[in-house]
Amino acid sequence: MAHIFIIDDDRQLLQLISVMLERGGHASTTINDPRKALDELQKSKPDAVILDVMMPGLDGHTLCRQIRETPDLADLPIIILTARSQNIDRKAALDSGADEYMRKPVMPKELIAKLEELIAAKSPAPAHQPGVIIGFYSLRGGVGTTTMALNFAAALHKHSDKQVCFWDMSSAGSPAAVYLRHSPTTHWGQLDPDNLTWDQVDAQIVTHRSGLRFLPAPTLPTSASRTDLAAALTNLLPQHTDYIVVDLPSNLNPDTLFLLQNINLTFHVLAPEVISVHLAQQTSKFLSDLEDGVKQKAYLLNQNQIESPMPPTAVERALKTRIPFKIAHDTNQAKAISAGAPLTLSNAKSPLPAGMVRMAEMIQQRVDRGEL
Amino acid sequence: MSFGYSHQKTINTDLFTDAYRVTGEVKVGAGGVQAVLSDQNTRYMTMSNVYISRIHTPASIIASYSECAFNKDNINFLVMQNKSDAVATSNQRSRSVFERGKDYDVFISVPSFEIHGIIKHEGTVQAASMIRNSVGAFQLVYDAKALAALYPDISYSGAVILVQKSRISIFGVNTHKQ
Repeated sequence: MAHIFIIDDDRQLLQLISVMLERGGHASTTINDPRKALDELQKSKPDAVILDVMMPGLDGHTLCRQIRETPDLADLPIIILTARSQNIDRKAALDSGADEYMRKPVMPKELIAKLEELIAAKSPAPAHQPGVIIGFYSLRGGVGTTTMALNFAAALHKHSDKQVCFWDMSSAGSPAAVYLRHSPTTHWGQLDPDNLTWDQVDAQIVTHRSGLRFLPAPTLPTSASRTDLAAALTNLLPQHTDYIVVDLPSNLNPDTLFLLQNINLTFHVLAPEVISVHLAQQTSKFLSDLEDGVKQKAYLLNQNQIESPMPPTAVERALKTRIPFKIAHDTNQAKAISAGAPLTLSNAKSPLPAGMVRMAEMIQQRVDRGEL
Repeated sequence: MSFGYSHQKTINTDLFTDAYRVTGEVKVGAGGVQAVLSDQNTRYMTMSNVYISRIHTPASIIASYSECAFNKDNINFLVMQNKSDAVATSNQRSRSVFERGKDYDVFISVPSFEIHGIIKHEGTVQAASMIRNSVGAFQLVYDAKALAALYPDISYSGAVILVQKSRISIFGVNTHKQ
């Protein structure tokens, strides 16, 4: 419901328009004397004004100019509604600063639609909430960390209206690019963390044919630490993207540690086998002992074999915690890799995508509740 | 805008004299403003809630009065947005005298303005007789546009423009049927 000021010397018309607005679900204040209007507007700061032109004492064009010159009211939506119906009158109304010109008599629907359109257009855009960075991490190779991260990003991309960017932070030669059948010519290795701008980052991001945005890693393995760059990207990416899904390196180098401590949520990916579970235990202990620790973490069990050496309950017993996310084995996964697209985008009914979509929905709900 | 009563309504009109544009309200009956202008009982037409602008700055209001009287003989023309506000229009039972005849393209000049539009005429197609034979002191020009002769960017359009016949200096007509 908006609060509209109607300024007209004609009391009958004031009443008529007031009733129109009430029926349209808006509140109104009527002003019969245009000379008092500016003070009233400054006191009440309405959402919009409907202004007549022909009024004794002060004409609508002059009042409109005064409103525009008042700093508090300069952006106020103004509709000039007048019986002067010539093109020259339209031009004069717009020249005086009005947003819209309408002729009397006016149809209620037309007036209300125009008002609502103007109010919506002049409302400040909601401030962009910083995006959420979600990392996928495992010290144990071959447990499907990249598969999980990519499919999760794809599920978010497909099932939300939010902007999603997959960030391959791997130092081992951009495995995600291979997965997506993409030969990157751009990657984050080309970025200079000093005075890094969004335009520079955006220029490195590519868009997969599925529409998923993707910041590739350097194509050749690297041992150089880029913690400063990780810090700059962790700062910049959330300012322009709602969800950043990062595939973390499978080691505990300074870059990984920095990210683990600074991203919103880390999925610790493990497979139902002894070494993976053992490394998960050790990693968990290591991270718990860190001074700053990690913000939030959760285990993600990827049942990457047809016959699991350990049942999920045994994994949970070993880790002494419940595993909230368990992804069933999916025979279609191998085909997805050869097809060059995450399974979530190519075969939604398959078990892996189904699990990923549920996971993405749960994470979105947590973000909506402000828990991340 | 018109507020209806059973026998009278208030209409908005733009009225033009040699140098001024006057916008205001006139009370009219079923015969529209044409009937008010043709009323032989008074030389004056009264307008209420009147706002006056100069012809060359027509959007700028220089004066306003709650009531003004106009010597009908000195009105050059009036611009009306609705035909029914201007004249008695046809209904289910009768066809208005103002709506009979064939359409002819006309050019009319009055002081400061030229007017383009269509007039309806029955009978001999001859410029002088067309003016002479039309009903009342004001010539009705339909779908009309008035341009300020010295300021051609300034124009006024209306469903009907009522032009004071005695003020016409040029009357040009395409004598073929439209």
